[in-house]
Amino acid sequence: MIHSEELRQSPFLADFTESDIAHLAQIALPTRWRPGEAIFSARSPAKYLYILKSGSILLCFPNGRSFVVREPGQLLGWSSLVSPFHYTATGLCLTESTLFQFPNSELYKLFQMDAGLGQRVMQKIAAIMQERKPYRTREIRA
Amino acid sequence: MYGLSAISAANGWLITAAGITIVFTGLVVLALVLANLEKTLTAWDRRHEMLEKRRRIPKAAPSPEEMAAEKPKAVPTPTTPVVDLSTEQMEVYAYFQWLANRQGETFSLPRLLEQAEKRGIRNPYTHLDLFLRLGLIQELGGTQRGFYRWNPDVVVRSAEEAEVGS
Repeated sequence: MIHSEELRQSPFLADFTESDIAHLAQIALPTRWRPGEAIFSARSPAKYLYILKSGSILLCFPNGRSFVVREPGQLLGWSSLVSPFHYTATGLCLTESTLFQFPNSELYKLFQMDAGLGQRVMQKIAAIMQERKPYRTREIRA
Repeated sequence: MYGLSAISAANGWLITAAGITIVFTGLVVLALVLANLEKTLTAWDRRHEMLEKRRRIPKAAPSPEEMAAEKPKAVPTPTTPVVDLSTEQMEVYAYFQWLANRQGETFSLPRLLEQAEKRGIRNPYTHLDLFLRLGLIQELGGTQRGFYRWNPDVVVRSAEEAEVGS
C-alpha cells in the first residue's frame, strides 16, 4: 500500500476522483529496479500494471523498436488488463527506477466493485495503446 | 494368397523395405522443407542486405583507448550545441558509435545494448540514458519510429578539451 498523494501526481490519474485514487493506492506496491533489470519481458504473461515514480525505462519491442519512458506517472504494462494478457514489450531499466506495481487480479476485483473506475482505466489504456501502436508495427528498415 | 505370406512367397521383402524407406525418406524431406520454409523465404527477402554485409570487410574491434583517442571531426560553431563528456563517457560514446555503425545509419537501441553487454562495456544502460538525455541519440519519425540515429547537429568533446578551450 502507498499514500494516495504519491499517485495523485500521476498524469494518468489526473482526472480520477479521490475515492478512485485511494482504492488504487491500497493495492499498489512500490518496487525498485536497478539498471539492466527487466521489469517484464515481451510475450510473457502480463500480471502487473506499473506506474513510473522515478527513473528511466526503455520499452523494447520484439521488432527492434524502442522508446524511453521517463516522465513520472507514465503507465507501463497495459497488457495486464487487455487480452491475451501477454506483454507486448520488454521493460528494461536504464537507471535506478521506482515503480508502483498493481496486480491485475486486484485491479479486476476493484473493477468488479466499481465499474466506473474500470471504465475510466480502460479508456486511458485505449489511448495509450493507440499512442504506442506505431512501435508494435512490423520492422521496416532500409 | 494375401498379406505377409504373399510377400514371402514372391521374395518381396527387399522391395517392401525399399518402398518403406522411399516413403519415409520423402516424408522426412518434406518435413524439413516445411520446417525451414520460413527461414528460406526470409533469407530470400533479405538477400541484398546479406550480400552487402558479406562484401564489407570485418574490422577488428578497436580498444576503448583507441576509440577515445579519436577526436570528433566536426568543428563547433556558435550555433552548434556542444556536449562535454568525461573521459569514461567519451570512451563509451565512441564504443557505442562503433557498435551502432555496424547496424547502419539507423539503429535499434535494444540491439545496441545487447552488443554493449556482450562486449563488457561499463554501465551501458546508464550511459545510454545519458546520451538520450543529452540529445546525442535521436529517434527517427514516420515508419522508422522507434529506431534511432546519432544526432549530427551536436558536437561532442571531452571534459579535458573543454578545459583547454576555456
